[in-house]
Amino acid sequence: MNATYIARGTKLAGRKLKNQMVIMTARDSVLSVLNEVGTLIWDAADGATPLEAIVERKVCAGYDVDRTEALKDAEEFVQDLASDGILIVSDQPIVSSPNKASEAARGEHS
Amino acid sequence: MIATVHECAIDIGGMPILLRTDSSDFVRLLQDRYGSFINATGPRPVFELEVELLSLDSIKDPDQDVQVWRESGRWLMERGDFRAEWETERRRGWVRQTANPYSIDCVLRILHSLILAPEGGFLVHAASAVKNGRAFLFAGVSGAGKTTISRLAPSDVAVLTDEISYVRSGPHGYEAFGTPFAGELARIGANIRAQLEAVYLLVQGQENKIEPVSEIDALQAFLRNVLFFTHDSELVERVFLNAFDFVSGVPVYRLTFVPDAKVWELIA
Amino acid sequence: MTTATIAPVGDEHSLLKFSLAIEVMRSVGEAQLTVGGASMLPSIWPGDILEIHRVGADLARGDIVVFARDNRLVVHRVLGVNRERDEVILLTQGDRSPRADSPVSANELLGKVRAIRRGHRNIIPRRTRWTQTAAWVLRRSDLCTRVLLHLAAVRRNSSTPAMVWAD
Repeated sequence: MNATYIARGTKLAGRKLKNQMVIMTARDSVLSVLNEVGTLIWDAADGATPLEAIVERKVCAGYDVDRTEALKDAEEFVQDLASDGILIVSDQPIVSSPNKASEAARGEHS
Repeated sequence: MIATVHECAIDIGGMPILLRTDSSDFVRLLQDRYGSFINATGPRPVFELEVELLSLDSIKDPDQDVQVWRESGRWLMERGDFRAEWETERRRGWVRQTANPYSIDCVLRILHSLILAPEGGFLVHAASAVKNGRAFLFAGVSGAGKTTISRLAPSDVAVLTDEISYVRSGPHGYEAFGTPFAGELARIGANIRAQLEAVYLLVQGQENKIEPVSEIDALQAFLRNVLFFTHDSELVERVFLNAFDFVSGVPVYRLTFVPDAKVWELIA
Repeated sequence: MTTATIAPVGDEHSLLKFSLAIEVMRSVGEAQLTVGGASMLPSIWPGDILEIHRVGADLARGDIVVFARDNRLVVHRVLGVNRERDEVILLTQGDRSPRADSPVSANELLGKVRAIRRGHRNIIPRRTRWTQTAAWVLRRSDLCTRVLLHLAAVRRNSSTPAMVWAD
């Protein structure tokens, strides 16, 4: 099975509130709020780490979940976000150029 | 024949916009609609807008959503009933519309949002009012009671608006301004400003009570009401961050209320 | 407000949930419903949990609403709102449906979608033209639909909230 790579989308505005990522897509100004697991995956979306590794290191490590279930769940999640332009999903590593939108989307707020 | 140019300054949020038109009838229409927000005296406005009036049969698709986008440094706005352009740097623009108040109203809301964005402000679907010199915002889903709570305001409370609240960021926190943007209350707001004390998320219920709200709930409930009218990613981001910072910086509560005037005793 | 007549059709369990959803909605003004059906792709997926609330006076084209019809709850998008005297009639259609629904009256209307919960995210929709464009493409591409459906696992079990149909 090919590895899945994920990176944060562009044309987004986002801020983190405690452990939840709040993202607004410019395309339609729809607001998405990611829960803790979703935010862990979002945080790790660097374009270089395979999804399987992200799930293993971040999700399985912190939560008592079956690895296969967690991966299937994560794949559905990233496809869902990709369909709205929040994540970019590829079977190759993704090299993204830094831009204002992505930087803001990484912004943290305590 | 030289057409006379009529001027009229509409002062909302302490940011007057000078409108120029060759129709004195249109100026009268504006005076009727905007009342105390028409500033005959006061400093010369920095923002200017030319209004060109068109004939009625130039309206197409009146139900269309307004489209707002940026092109070569100008903002363009279009809806079935008007076209407008605005140059941010030069602080001037124009509107082509028929002689009606709704088109100019839409343009003004967008222009103010554009002007407010770089300085931390925004417009939001919410009622607001001033009590004891402090402003309060009342947000909620439609039907939650924005107009109701505005209608119930006692005589010592000044309603700023029941529909579109105007928030500006200042050195001492956030301020709310009265606007002529009225909803079902059908009354323009008081042309005053005050420091924003709190935001109340409205819910109609069987008793009057105020409860705390988690930050994430406050954020979602508030953000859904902020005015976003363009897909331009830079502006969307700016407004999003302004609203986010606002909700993080002002106390937010849930206000359950019975629709009678006693609710106003809880607001302080 | 008159209640829509409900004839006993379908299993009692889902009918009970249907009635309960209506009752909750009408007294509290809010409810949660699970989605079945694909007529609202890509905005709403089967398995999504919808938070709905009472409809207000600003209901407009583009809003997503829930109404009761044929003993089930249906979730579709508003194409037009007709206000005559005190009557409100809606023209609605699923984004991927070939035809509009027959007009929806105020007493069939339950509420408007306020948030969509899907997996690890909560989505707060706004009125938009873009979603309509995507739906236009989808209506012409069964392949797209199949791919999207494959990704959505429909979870049905007795502990989920009442079903609402996008079909």
